[in-house]
Amino acid sequence: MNDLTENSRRNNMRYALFVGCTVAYKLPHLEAATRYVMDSLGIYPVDLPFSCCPDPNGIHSYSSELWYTLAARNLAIAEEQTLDIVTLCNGCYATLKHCRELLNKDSGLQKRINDRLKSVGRHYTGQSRVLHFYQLLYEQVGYDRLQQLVVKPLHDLRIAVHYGCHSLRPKQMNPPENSEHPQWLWQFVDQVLGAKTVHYLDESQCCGAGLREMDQDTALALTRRKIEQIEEMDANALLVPCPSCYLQFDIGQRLLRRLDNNGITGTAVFYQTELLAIAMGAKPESIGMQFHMIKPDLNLLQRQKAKSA
Amino acid sequence: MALDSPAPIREESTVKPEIGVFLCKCGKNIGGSVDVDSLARAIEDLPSVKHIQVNTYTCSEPGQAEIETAIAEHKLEKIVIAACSPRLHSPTWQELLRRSQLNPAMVEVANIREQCSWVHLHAHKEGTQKALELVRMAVARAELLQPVAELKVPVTQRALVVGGGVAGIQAALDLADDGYETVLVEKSPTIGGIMALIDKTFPTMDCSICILGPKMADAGKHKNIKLIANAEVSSISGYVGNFEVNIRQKARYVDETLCTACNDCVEVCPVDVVDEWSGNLGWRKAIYIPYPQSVPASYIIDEKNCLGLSPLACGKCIDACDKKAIIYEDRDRDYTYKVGAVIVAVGFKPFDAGRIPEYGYNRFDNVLTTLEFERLINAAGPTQGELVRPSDFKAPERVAFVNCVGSRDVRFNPYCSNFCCMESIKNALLIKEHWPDVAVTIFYIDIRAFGKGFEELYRRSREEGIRYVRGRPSRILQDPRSNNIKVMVEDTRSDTVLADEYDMVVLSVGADGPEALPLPLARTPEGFYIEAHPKLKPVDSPSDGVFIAGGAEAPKDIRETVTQASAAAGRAAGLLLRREVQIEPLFAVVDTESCNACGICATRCPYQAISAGKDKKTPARVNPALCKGCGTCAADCPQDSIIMTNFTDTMILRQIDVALQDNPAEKVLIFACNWCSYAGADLAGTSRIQYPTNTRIVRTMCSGRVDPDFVKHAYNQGAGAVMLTGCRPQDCHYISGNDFALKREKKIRRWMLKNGIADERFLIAWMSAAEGKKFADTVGRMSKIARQVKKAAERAA
Amino acid sequence: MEELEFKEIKRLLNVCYQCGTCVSSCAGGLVNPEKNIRKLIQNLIDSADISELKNSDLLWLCTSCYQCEDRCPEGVPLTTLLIRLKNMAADRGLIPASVQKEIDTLGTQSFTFPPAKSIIARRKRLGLPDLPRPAKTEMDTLIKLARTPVFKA
Repeated sequence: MNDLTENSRRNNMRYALFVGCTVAYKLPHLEAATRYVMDSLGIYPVDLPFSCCPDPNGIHSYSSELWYTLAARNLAIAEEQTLDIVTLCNGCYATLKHCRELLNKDSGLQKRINDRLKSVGRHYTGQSRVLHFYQLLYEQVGYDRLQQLVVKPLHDLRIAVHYGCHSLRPKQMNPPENSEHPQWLWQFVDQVLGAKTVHYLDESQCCGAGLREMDQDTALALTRRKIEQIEEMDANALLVPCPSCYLQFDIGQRLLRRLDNNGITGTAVFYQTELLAIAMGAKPESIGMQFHMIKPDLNLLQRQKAKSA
Repeated sequence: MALDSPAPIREESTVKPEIGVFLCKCGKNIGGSVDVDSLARAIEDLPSVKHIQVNTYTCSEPGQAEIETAIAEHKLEKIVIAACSPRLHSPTWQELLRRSQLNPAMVEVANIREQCSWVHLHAHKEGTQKALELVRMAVARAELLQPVAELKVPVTQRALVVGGGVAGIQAALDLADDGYETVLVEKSPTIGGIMALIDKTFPTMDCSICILGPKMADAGKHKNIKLIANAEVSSISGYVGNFEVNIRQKARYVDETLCTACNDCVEVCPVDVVDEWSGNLGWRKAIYIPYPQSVPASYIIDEKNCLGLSPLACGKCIDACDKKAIIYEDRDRDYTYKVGAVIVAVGFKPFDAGRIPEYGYNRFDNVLTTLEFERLINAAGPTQGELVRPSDFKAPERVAFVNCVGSRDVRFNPYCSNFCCMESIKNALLIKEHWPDVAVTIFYIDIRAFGKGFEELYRRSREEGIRYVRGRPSRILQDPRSNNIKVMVEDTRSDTVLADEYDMVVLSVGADGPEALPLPLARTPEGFYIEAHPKLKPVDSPSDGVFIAGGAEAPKDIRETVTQASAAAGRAAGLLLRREVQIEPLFAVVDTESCNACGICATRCPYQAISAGKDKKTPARVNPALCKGCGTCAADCPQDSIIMTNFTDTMILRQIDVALQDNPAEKVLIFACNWCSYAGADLAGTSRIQYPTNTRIVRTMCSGRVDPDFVKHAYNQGAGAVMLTGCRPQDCHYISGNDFALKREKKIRRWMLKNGIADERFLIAWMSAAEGKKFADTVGRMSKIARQVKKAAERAA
Repeated sequence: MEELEFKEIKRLLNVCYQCGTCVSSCAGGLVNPEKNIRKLIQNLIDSADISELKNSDLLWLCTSCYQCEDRCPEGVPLTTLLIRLKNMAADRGLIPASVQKEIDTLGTQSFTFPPAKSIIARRKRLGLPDLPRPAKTEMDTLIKLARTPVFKA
């Protein structure tokens, strides 16, 4: 953790921002919320010509070599600017972090990949670290500081949390937190947002996003399990740190609502920086909250309750 | 009595004619294929040989008598016997020397039977030539033999038992009943260990404390047992028969001799503490007794939680105590004892289920371990034996057990912990017996019911309706509203994923190894103490005089523990009753003048026999009582400062010189270790498996003795091929000698590459004493390579 | 070379003692009992050669969530092996349509969600910057080079 602070101090909290396909070209409002947060925290994102990370499910399954190569290219691009990478998506995090671990451990693999990168004038050394955005909030800035910057604590929200899979696994990629029982998102809800945490039985289960294309029935069945429990526990918001999970819950609930008329009510899904932005004073329209499929109840977010001293 | 290392041996350069060589025909065994008479003629010119004699049966009484006569008549100082393997008759020759008033180390054996005549039955000319060279090698070695003092040390007539669980208690009682003073040290305030905390034992369903209690009382009262509870061994030093142990006993703040266990103090103590003695499910006070049957039967103040150990802070217990047994001024006490034998019986540590976060232990109230469950249903436990679940004290209707928690798992402990299957079965039966309507499920991968009565108990449990599901739970969840526990598991018998709910789940935890003791004993990576031999010496540790018993050696149940404890006590008593013990005169000696205190030697020794000064200034010192003479330290000493008694560098190098004197290019020089590969070579001989004659064997005690310099020297002398042989990995007689030997391979091959010596001319081969054929085959292959080298050299010339 | 690979894979699978931890961890298996990874492993252990792959649609139903691999008590690298098997299947042209689509989009657009005009417009409305795009030639070169099958551990 000290290394991170060093690096950002050196670079004045500048990071190569890895937006990822899903946020950039499907859910840009999540990017808007994130940029708002970064602005307020003095984090400077640098935009570089990244490609798809590439996807740790489809592309990795198709060809490991392609996966390593394109990931290495992305990492090399950040290295060229002497910047660490911050990702907005669990999947991008898993790809870049995992590939970095593999490339750094296996010199034969690294050489093979670098031979390819050479033909497009790039070179990978492993200098740039890979961070998930939540780490910036949890480790870099710290929840104490965030708490101070929150002007509109979200006391009316009862938030169920979904961590997702790829921010936590596999162990091989050395994720920074305990994958079976991570704390950072619950602590975020409690300490930073000032909201109530709602626990439900299957909170550590996968959302099904990975099967979205291949087998929509199974994917939705997984989503349904979680949503039903969340509604049963009387939550009024679902918080996720990943745009892919966001998509699965947002569009997923709309599909589920269509499939059975009275089953799902629909719980609004929020990306981590969206709620943080609101709590820090952003107006919902300015960060594109109108683009949610399951419309959030703005009253719950907008209560003009000044923070108690 | 401190043993000083004998003065380092200085090699003598002058050769005195003092050796008698006795060549044995062994009937036709040797004489049939080796021309022994010609050998006698051929060695007449050796300056150190004073007397030569040919015998037909050297080991027979008349044969031996001839040698004794020759020694007396010719005033021989040393003898060389060219006959059968030294592994066969060495003790005979040593006795002979003692009878002739010579030091028993003054004999060298040339193995011209098992390793010559028997394996070269038809190559008479080459066989005789080889025998001649073997005799010359023996003479060269004999010239350098030094007398060794035979050390006898007295054995202190007292034993130390570390650990007061059932293993320690049993061992101490056995030794005390044998009449030996025994010091029994226990870390907790009471003896009894884990057995005192479990409710019933399998397979008999006996009440555990009921059968252990009387033994505990005996141990506490026995006139020969000095029980020091609430204490730990702080240091131990010395060697077999002569250990010195320091024990630190922590302050109890209650006088054991005055306390009557009346409980008045507990009633007035204002502090409540979570009671670790009831599985953290109940409460105790800051002054407490672990359980009613504790031995010593005395209370103790938990100073961390006591308000202050002074009348200003509280003082209520002092006021309440009639006997004035409470002493706030109590302090830690140190004891020192001299003991002759030590038994390590410190037990295992239960696996911490919190290390498996997906099982929810520590997070979910209704997930317990088997040990906590034992306290829960115990009549003396926090609920007086009522089966209730921690979250709401309601009686559970559905209970599940999970086996193999922390065991058979590469992420935690790869081994099986022996007792957990039976522990689950027993506990499940207990529930069924008292609360027959409770539904009990056991999740397992394999049921291990291997002991006497175990399978029958397993069957009984199935008869009683306990449900067995073959599947290992992947995760345990808690319903936040009902606090019911959901277990995610695949029933592999029906390929169905189950997500059933239970009121309570009990994790059958395995065993972790014990914590480290200040005892330099070898342990497995998990911390269990290693025995001297897994089959033939299961209770001896590799260090003489120290024995191990119980869970400290490996996880096991009570019956196996008690068996081992009595075995260890028997071994210890055997040592004590001998009153003195002989130290084998084979050990390393450090030449303090040339030693530069680098400390490498100490890292090579599996017996912790070398103390290297941490200041990098004090030269290393070897404790000859702990040293087994493997020579691994000597081989890696960069200064060549370590001298192996009668296996010196010079002796080995001279043997190599003599072996390679004639026609080195076509010879295979083989280093063989005394316990495995040399014995394997002997077996090839006994089995009459033939192999080529261009082979010369140099014996060391351990393959770890072979210094890369020996190998280089052999090549420099023109050897066609060199082999390093020894025990199979994991089987080294000296535990790690062959590991270190293997580590030198890279260096040797690099040197060979640099000096243009083909890679295939060096081979490391591991084989056991039972692999005579393998020895012959491997040696045969290398022999071909050596002959090819000779041919190539000739062609080049 | 493929045969060696398959032998390697089987060697790693042989230690499986069929405990089922993987199956009950599997997200897919939770709602669809046909997706039984333990049975897939057992079939692979029992199969003689790689042609069994032809029938393994099951492979593509893995989301790479890694719960099975992280939890396996015998350390069988389940997910990693599945991915390798999928790579092998892909090399023989046996991939599901949805994955093919994703590859095609990556090849033409460098992203898996193509930057559609409506999204670009939405980005502008939200005040978001135009993100720099990777050079097509660079992507083409790398994709072509990476597609040479290399079977390494």
